[in-house]
Amino acid sequence: MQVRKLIAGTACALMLLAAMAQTAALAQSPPSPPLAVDKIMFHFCTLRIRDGYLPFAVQVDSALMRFANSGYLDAGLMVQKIYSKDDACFAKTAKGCFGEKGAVYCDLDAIATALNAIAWLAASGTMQDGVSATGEKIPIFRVQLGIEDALKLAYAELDGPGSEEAKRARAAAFEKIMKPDGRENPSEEAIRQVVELGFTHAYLLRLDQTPGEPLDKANLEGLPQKLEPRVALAYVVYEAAVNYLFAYILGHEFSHAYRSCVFRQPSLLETSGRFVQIRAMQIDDKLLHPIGLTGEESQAELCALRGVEQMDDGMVAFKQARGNAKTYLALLTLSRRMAIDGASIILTLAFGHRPEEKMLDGKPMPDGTPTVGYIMESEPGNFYPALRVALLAELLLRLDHSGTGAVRLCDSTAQRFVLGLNFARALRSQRASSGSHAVDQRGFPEMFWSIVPAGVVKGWQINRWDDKTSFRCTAAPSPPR
Amino acid sequence: MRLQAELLRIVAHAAGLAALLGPFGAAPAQTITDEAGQLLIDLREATNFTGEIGDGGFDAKVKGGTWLVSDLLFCGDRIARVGAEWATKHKLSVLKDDRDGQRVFMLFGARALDGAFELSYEFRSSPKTAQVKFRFFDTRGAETRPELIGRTDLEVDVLRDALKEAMECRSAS
Repeated sequence: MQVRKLIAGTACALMLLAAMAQTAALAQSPPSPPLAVDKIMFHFCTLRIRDGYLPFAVQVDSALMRFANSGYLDAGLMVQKIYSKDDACFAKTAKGCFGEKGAVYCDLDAIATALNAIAWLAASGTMQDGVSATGEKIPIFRVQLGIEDALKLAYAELDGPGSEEAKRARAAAFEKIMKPDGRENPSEEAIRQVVELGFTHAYLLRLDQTPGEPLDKANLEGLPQKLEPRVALAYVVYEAAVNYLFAYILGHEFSHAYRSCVFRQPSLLETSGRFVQIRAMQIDDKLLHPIGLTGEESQAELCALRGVEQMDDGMVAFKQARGNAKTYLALLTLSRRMAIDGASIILTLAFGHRPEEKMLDGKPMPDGTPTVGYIMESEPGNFYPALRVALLAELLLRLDHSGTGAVRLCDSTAQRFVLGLNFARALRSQRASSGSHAVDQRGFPEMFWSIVPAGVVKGWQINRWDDKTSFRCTAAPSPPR
Repeated sequence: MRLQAELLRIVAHAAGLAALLGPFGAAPAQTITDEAGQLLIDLREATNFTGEIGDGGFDAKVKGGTWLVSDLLFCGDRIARVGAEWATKHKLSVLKDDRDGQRVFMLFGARALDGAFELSYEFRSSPKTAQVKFRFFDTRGAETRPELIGRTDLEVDVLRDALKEAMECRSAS
């Protein structure tokens, strides 16, 4: 079903827009017990301040304020920001984020890239019909743009959408969409899709320019009226996915900054024992090469997951209280999936690194996929990136009740997950070949079958995967046989 | 494309160790020293860790902290053996070797060293924790980080990794 058809039977697009001002909504959600946090200092490292203009600073600020006002941090949380180009700031963040002594340091490029990649993914979505596990018809929002394409676009736009690099990247990405089979002349429909994608992305970012305040509809000025429904729906997906991602990143960093978890409610992964189960893979020296795990990193990750769950609780409660709850919740399902993809970008595609920096031999994979630094190595003491992505996916899967099976690791996110785990196993196998340990290769399917397509499980069993079929999002998970 | 074949290629490049160690290189050296004058390694059983959270970030280099293990045993004999083997390899004398059921305390020295290394290991059973300290004292009693005394030939990095393995009873018995 196309966006317009969906909207036609429900409400007008601008009503949707008005309703999705989650900043206000989250501030109204039931407050959790007050936290021992009343202020936070943010240091954003950036070299891009030129003539007072800093690309993506407003959208990052907006996401930060939504997190700070989410109802789970003290309402009076005071956020102070410093934009810094000091070497010390960059050294601390190491192209990611770092928390210490009441302060969080983040590389602005890294955060902006993840946020903008999500904007591209959300903008490329279309609404279709789906059927739940119980046979009920439900709307499903599908993403058309690949994660790598979204990431390349986001990197290219770090200096702003008008830069030459950005224009080149857009031309390349749009060409790919318009000429999927290498055909010479794109169809009119393909051209229309690309034009609408460009408009939708631009207006998502324009809408997200009112930190701490309800959305300003004046930002829609100039948008063709027929695209308003599409932008409205895409915005809900974009904002929720960014909310999840910020809850995940800042939940982790706040723990380091305040030396304790700022979220008190245990997550579903804690109460179910699943966190401990996945953590054991990192430290028990049975399946993966043991790089160790510090208590601090373990607790910070646990806290990040609490932050995600509490953000989810707030957004679900808000959406259930509105009209069109079914549509909103369907959009939230897509946001959960997109948050997993976003986290995977951060954790396994080098947070803050340009793709070229991590290219293998400077060449893409045979299928054209950029070999953008699948980060195999992990700093000792930290969770393996693959296990982090698995924890987040498992949590968001448990929080999702759509029955669509949409919330999981698939496509290139699943591919990187498999590569990451296999790398850690390979290192261990190499060590084991010296005779010190035996390798248990059976563990992955049993541990992760519920969050990956069936083809991934089969791949583990026969030690072979097919890029075209093994990771497809449309292939439902099934327990190992 | 076969993922496994690509994995081999990627791993070899990603690890950057292909030329040295074949397709599956060893993990990079661990950074487990603290900022103070001593080398410190803390282990704690994961089941009872509720400690304070220190500084850190997404995949940041770990500078200190407590390492979690699935189970923890008294591994004093292995610690002492690692220490003694390191001393022998580098022609240091064992000046002191005190052990009991919970602790190991050793001193290593040599005429040319202008001081002594102290290795101490302590195991506590409730909650299960283990701590190793490795320090250098010069002849005036001042403490210096062992890595900073200008003796790279003593391979303190190698000793540090061996001690951590020994603390988990993972080194050769």
